[in-house]
Amino acid sequence: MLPGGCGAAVARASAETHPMRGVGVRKRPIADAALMAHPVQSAAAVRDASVLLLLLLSVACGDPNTRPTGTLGSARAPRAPAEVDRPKALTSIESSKKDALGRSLRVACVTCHSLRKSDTLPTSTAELDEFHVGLQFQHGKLNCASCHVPGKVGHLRLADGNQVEMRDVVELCSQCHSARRKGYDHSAHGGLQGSWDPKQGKQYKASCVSCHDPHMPKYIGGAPVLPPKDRGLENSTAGAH
Amino acid sequence: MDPKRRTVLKVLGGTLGAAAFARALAPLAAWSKEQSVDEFLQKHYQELSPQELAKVLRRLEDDTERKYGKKVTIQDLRPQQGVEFGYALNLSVCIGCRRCAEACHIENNHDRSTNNSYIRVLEMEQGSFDMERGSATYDHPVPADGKYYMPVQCQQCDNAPCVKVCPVQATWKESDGIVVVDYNWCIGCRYCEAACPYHARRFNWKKPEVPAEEINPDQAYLSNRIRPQGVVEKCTFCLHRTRQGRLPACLEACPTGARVFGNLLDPDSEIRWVLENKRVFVLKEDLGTRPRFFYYFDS
Repeated sequence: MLPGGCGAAVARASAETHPMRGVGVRKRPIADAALMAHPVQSAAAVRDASVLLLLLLSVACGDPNTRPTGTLGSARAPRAPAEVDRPKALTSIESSKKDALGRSLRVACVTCHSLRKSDTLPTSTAELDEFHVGLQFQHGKLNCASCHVPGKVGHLRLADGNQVEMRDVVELCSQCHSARRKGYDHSAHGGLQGSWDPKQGKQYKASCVSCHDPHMPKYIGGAPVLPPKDRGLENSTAGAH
Repeated sequence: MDPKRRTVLKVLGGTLGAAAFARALAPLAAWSKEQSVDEFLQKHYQELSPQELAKVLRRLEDDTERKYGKKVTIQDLRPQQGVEFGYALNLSVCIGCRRCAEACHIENNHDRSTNNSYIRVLEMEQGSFDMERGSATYDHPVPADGKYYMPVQCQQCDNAPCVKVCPVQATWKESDGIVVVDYNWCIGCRYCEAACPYHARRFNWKKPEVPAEEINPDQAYLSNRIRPQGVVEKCTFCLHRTRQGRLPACLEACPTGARVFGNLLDPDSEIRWVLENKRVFVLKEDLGTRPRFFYYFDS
């Protein structure tokens, strides 16, 4: 997890491209397009080649900071990339049962999935009658199979049919939220922890699901902390002048 | 009759005069307890030799331990070469939770009773930019419908009015863009507070009270060391962190990732990407203060 922690983030991106629209007609995966720094394919190829070269170099030099595992390269800069939070592999989910203190009881995935094979995935939460009953879902017009793979609980399905581990969820979200991904790659979305300069210290970044619930990504909000009590502010609506 | 009346008046006047004199000198007695001769004779920060400065830092550390019961480290951190700091804030995602203000409160050893912080979050009407009608004291779940939230802190202006008005040059701009205050040189006239169009400066009306266990011991002379009573203080972009490569406390505390900080001179920095790719604006641009703090919206 991130050192500073990341509570929850806002998803006011109400007017983003509809997730499933046009998936079938795109020639290249959307995620790739979102990652691409330059509009032409050859430039992307050049970048890929240079990244590869950099990787080879870093392996040769034994520099631990440029390890590619769990990192996302910035599209523009050959800087040491920030370490992205990879959520722990999902091994259990919340159930509708509560304990004596009112906390939701968690159930291990294998409790059900090892015994029974799940049917083909339903198209909406209303059809859930045995698995994941009561799941709240507010995320566009996606259906379960848009992201989940029938029979493979730890994996997610990209729009091009390829599968990624659930822990690499950033790749999945980026397919639709490409504008967010672009900001994310430059730490203008999702925040940053550690150093402002990768040469002076390690950088850490949240993953999409560190802050957003993938089934209900919109931020709900909460009570603000630390009300100001300085002079002249009591009972006044005046702030900065 | 006359001489007697004159005597009475003389005695009365003399008594009143003596009382007034004693009263006028009272702060001097109080001052000598709080302030040592060394402190009184201390030179301006920029005129201190390295040896003198080292002595000052040790004295301040001892003072803090004596007054607050906590061992702290007060460093003298100079600007890094080739670095000019800039800060940007995404108004599209700020939800007004005030966690930045809270992080500032803790990081910078602010007085606990006043909830002091260098950041004031304004709740603004969507579509309006009238800061005088923004509320800083909102107390309801956020984000509220029809509102947006604008945290305001020191804008580290390149053309800073607060620096110009200081009659004793106790505040100045450093080479990395941070406007700092020598708390030991400040005379507390509050001209700078009045001159700042962003209401970013704070005055220590009383001695800051912070429980020993809550004091942040990682301190710097020009930033978060506990300020004396009667001086002005301000946001320093957490220079005790940022001049050592770390991010400001308010940025790391932000749960929405609305804040972006970095080196304006580094073309690959996050802040440069925001300035080049987002619709960025500064507060009260018409005043010509040239802030280093930028606001933007997601387009």
